[in-house]
Amino acid sequence: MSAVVDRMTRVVVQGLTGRQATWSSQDMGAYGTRLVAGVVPGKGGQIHLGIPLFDRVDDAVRATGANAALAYVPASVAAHAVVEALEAGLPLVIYPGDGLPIHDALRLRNLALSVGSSFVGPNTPGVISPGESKLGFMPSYCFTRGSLGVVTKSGSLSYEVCLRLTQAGIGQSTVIGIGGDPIKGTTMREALALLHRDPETSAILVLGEIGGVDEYDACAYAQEPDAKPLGAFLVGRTAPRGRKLGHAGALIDSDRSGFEAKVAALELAHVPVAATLAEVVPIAAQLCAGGQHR
Amino acid sequence: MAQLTEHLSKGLLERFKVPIGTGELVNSSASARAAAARAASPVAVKAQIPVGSRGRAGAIIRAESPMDAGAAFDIVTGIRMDGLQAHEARIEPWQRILDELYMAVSFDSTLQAPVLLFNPFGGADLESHPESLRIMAIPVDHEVSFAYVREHADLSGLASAATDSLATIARDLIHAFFALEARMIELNPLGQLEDGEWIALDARIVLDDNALFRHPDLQGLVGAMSPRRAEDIVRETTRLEFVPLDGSIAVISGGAGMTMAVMDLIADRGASAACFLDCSADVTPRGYRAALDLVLSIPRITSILVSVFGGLTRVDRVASTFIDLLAGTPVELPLTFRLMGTNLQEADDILASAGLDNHHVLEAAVEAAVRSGQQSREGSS
Repeated sequence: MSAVVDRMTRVVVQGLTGRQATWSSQDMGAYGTRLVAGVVPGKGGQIHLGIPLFDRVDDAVRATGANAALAYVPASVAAHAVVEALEAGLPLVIYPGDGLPIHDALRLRNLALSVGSSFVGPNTPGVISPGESKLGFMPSYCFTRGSLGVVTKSGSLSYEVCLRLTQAGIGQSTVIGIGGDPIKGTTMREALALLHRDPETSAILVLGEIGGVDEYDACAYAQEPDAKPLGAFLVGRTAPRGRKLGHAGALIDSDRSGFEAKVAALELAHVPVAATLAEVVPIAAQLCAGGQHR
Repeated sequence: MAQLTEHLSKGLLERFKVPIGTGELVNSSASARAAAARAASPVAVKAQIPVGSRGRAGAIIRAESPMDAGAAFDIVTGIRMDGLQAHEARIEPWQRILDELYMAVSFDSTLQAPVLLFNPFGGADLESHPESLRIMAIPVDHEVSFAYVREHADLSGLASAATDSLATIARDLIHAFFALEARMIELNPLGQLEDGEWIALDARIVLDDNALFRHPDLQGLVGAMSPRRAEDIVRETTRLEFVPLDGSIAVISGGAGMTMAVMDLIADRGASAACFLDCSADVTPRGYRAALDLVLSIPRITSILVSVFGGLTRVDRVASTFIDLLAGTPVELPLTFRLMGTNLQEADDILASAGLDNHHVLEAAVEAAVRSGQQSREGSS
């Protein structure tokens, strides 16, 4: 059992018949992800990509035993879709889309916490356990099976870094995209806890950026006595203060959310921080070899 | 993130009974004089720019007479802050203040919750007293009442009459925060007048762009606001995330994290990026057309780097889109491609058939873009 998803994960795709959902579902199916149902209101009873469609998530769960949902729906109706999936009792719901209103993110986070489910997103490519299953649209060839867990605020940066790791022979156990929004279904702290408990993860790489305070969770984790070896790479060193860069949370609005403060805090917590992209692979290799500078 | 001007912010807060005092919006020195004559002198003449720290930048002036208010209008609307210049000013009676506080409602990333922020040191003193900031997590499962704020917010050190007034204001501010789906509402300072009443001397609301579809009235306010940041206008019309920067290498990119990574790499090579431009929200020909037009509108650029690591974005489509665009609009500047990710092989073939290279290694692409930028600058000088 991997940290979040594995071969046993049975996925219902909300909005399966959409253009991007169709493309991504074919891609996930080819990767080996078990797609058991689609939910598209008004299309219940039909078949798409060989997958049965249902009007409602609870119908899909009853009929197929789905245990995870991936919501490929527009941001304006995302809250409704995620609430439906959580209320159907699914233990894992992923919303990869961007543009989710922050007050919706807050409600969804709190609902997931209250029903004891995991909500991942918004604004993330999803979650992949290489060789097992992927719930999301990350390019498969960037990833290979291994023991390095990765938590990332940025999807695109995780592709770049994981491709380099894969080419260097450093495989990944689970890559969790937590997204770059300020209110998250799964935070850095929660994602690190999942990887900490995962027996297949022996070391952890955090991909961070300016804005927010998520990277301080990595500092706190690294200082726990039984922490797994942890390294980090951050982007946005050249970002101007006070301007939002793409991600809703990528905004330097205090000294603490800036690049230098985060790097300094990580170094103080003895977390090796790659100074450039090229340094990520050697640091990851060291982490996986069990060695961390202390 | 739509940050509203003080005047718009106060107008919205008035609906929620947050005390904002009186004020009038003027757009000329003549109307400033008239407004100052209607209010009792002295007055405050305040430039309406959606940025903080206007007082320190000289964009708020005390005018002793209507005549002075007219002159002050010209001064405050001549000041440029963050690249923005006011077209309008708000004229308010100049208040004698006994005490100044800071109060805000915002999201706290650590708590993953909305919070009420309160600091007994407000106004210009706020930044020198971060240790005095008090935080109350706002419950989201029930309506926040006066009694709740009175019980849970740390308003200690204040007279009980003041505590009651402030708890009422805090409650109303929290209601406004949820009703408007705001990212942040800040009153700094919240001032106590000689009669004991509290009013927001300044107010700042940051709305959530993503929630505006549910609030057509707010969308109208934001759309009509002036001045606005270039990036807000771009985002509204194109869905591109654009922030102008001061370098010369234009980056057309996909994904916020990779765009920042590319900016950092450009700096590592001694150059700097001309913009942050993340096109991932609109990877259609229309989106890339807008992106290309945007970077070509920056006068000092010497080189363009197209860097997309596609997941959901299929990079073969990016390649063919750019070839079509370049056929329609020949670009004189050197153009470097770094396309990776989904459908890479097809993208390589498409670029190659047009005689263009695709750099697979990011560092090599950045190096090529910076070098070709230097050459194009030398060539043109």
